[in-house]
Amino acid sequence: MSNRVSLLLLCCACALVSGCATPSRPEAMATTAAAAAHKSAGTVILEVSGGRQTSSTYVPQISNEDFTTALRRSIEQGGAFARVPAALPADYRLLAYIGRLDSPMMGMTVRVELEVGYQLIETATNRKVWARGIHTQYTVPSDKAYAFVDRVRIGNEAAARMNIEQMLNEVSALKLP
Amino acid sequence: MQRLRLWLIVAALGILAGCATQNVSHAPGADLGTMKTFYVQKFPADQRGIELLFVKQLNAWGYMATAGTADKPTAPVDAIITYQDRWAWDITMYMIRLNIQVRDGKSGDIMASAESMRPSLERLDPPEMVKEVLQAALKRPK
Repeated sequence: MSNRVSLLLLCCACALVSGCATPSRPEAMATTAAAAAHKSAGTVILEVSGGRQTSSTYVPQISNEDFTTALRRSIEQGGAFARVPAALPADYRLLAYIGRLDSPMMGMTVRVELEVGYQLIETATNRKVWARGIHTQYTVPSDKAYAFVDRVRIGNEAAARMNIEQMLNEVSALKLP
Repeated sequence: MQRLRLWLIVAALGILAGCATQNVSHAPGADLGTMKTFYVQKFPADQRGIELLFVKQLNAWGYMATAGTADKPTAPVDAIITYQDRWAWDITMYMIRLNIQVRDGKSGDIMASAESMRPSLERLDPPEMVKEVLQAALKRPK
């Protein structure tokens, strides 16, 4: 009996020690896909909401700051807009609301679902040029990483990358001046 | 040996206890005050009928609410509620996490989302957790 209790306690301790969650990394969420099909000469500022900081004892999250950085890098790399200033003035405001980031609490294979609501607003007229909710999902196989929280983080990053890529493709198709 | 045992017990308690957390966010410009009719879309993995708890709570607050498995309701509604319930075992099964999204009835875009996370020692009955997340998402007074 004593051995069994010790074994259980040891398992709990191992879970505690091995499973510290780390936040999703902006460099892994930024898309490195090919240049935008259409490059706008306009500038855009980014406003992200709905994200959360990662607590070391919970599953990895995506923070507003990190998603903003990933968006900025993706736009700058692909050239969808001429520039991404940190504040107004700018020709457009891109609002991104992280409405859903869902992953299991435990498990071997991890499926992450991400839903971001985007709004692109022309600042001069305050007109909504484009709005769409984009849903992406990514499944991380069990052999991708040893720790569960690392598999969740990898899933978050991949789902975010796909989400940003899809958004940029749609914005590019608008052929903004 | 005694010290190691004590450390292990503390570590185990850390895992089992945790802290209850609630999170809520609203999309920029979302207006939830005018909503009167709701459709609750059943989470495919839910085998416990949680969607009916949402309907019951919304009805208790005076809203018109229905539930179903289809993506969209048969009649137009102001908002669609989607949810994901997660369960864990500790002596008995309990709901450890509940997430909801309040979506626009026409576009399906998320207007608000809320989460309640309750580890074993701070567990609540499912109807209470449903009430908790709805209150947060719909900005209802407690």
